[in-house]
Amino acid sequence: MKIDPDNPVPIFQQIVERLTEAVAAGLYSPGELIPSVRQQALNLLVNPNTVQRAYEHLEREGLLVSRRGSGMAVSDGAPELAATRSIAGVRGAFVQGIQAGKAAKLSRTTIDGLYRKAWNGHPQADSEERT
Amino acid sequence: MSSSNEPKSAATAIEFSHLSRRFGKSLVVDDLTFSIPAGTTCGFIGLNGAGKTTTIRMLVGLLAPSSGRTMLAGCEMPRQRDAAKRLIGYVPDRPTVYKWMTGSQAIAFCKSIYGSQWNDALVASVAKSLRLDLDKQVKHLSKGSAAKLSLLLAIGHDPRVLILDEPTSGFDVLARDEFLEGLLLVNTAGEAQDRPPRTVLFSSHALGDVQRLADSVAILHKGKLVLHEPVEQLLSQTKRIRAVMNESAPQTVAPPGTVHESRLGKEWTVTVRSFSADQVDFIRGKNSVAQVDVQDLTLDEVFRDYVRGELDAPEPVPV
Repeated sequence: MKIDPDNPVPIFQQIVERLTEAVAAGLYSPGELIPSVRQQALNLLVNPNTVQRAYEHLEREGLLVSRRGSGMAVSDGAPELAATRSIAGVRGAFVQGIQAGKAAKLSRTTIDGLYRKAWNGHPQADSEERT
Repeated sequence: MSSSNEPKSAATAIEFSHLSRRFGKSLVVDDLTFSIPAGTTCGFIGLNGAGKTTTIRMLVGLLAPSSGRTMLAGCEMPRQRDAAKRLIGYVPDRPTVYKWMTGSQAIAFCKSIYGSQWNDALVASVAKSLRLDLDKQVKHLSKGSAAKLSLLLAIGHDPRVLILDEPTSGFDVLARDEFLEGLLLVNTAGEAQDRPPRTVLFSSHALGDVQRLADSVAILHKGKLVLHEPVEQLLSQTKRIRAVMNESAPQTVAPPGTVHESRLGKEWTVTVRSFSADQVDFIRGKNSVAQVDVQDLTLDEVFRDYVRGELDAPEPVPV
């Protein structure tokens, strides 16, 4: 997991997004403990208070559950929730791309073409298309 | 204000109250007022010559203020400097560790100053976490390792407040990463003993580090405090509104809360604080604009725009 301090997205939000993606991708399974606040802060080189707030946010969202004495674990419903969040994130990225295209006065056909080109240029496009 | 010589316990670890310092006719620190809650980390940023080091030197009692006061860990400085010494760790911009000493000798030297307050177990545990070779002479340590040793020496007496003046100045990225890891380790060393984290004030030009480590950021410009806000709040509420004008019209009307604006041909960018949709509506309503979009900013961009705004403004922007 990596965060980018030069990204305008606040680090708190980046941690929430990266952990949600990790759960959606199956890196953590339901019931599995995630790294402690201190471990995660040292891993990402960020303020432990920020990690703590991100974990508490994910707990309120239902992705994490607090395990008394042992830390935070992935909730039973987390994979489904994380998948829904990831879809919303990808949709948001597309909307931003479309807005940038519209701002540049590109036609819908051109924007569709750019999307297909981007997909074809993606290194895993062929294998993903077959699945 | 406490009149006794005993430090008062406080949820506020650091407090500046109308602090000013003159050198001759030059007002280097100008009526500084803000406070830092205990257990939080504050990044103190400003251009060269903004007054950061002078402020820090007054905070740790090395320099008397011309007026106003500073409170540190419940002690009024410099009056209660001796009491405060036990409660604070300070790493100056040029740490003075004797280069001929080994790490172990430097630790023994500092221990002799602090006596029974020195926490051998804490030092041993943090030194191990920092992966420091204590048998090496200081002159043979890398920049990152020497900085980590300075940190270790600053927390050997287990202070509740840590003051660091530009700790990563001149570091390459690896030395900086080593130092950040060291700071996190020493800052959370108390947590393992069920203690809250230390309060940290660090000045820096590395705004990525500030974004990583700080709960709040204080911007100093020409000796004055421009703002002191939680980093996340500052980043979420400061936005750049980019407007494309219908024509290269000579006049623009900026919305309330404008920090800085710039104009290049038909493109007009306005950085605003306390962002709301009303500011976008204001720009649309009062100006002939073809298109408006809103951009998020990094801490680096926020800092630049606030400082540019201060340079543009005849009077300081109230915050």
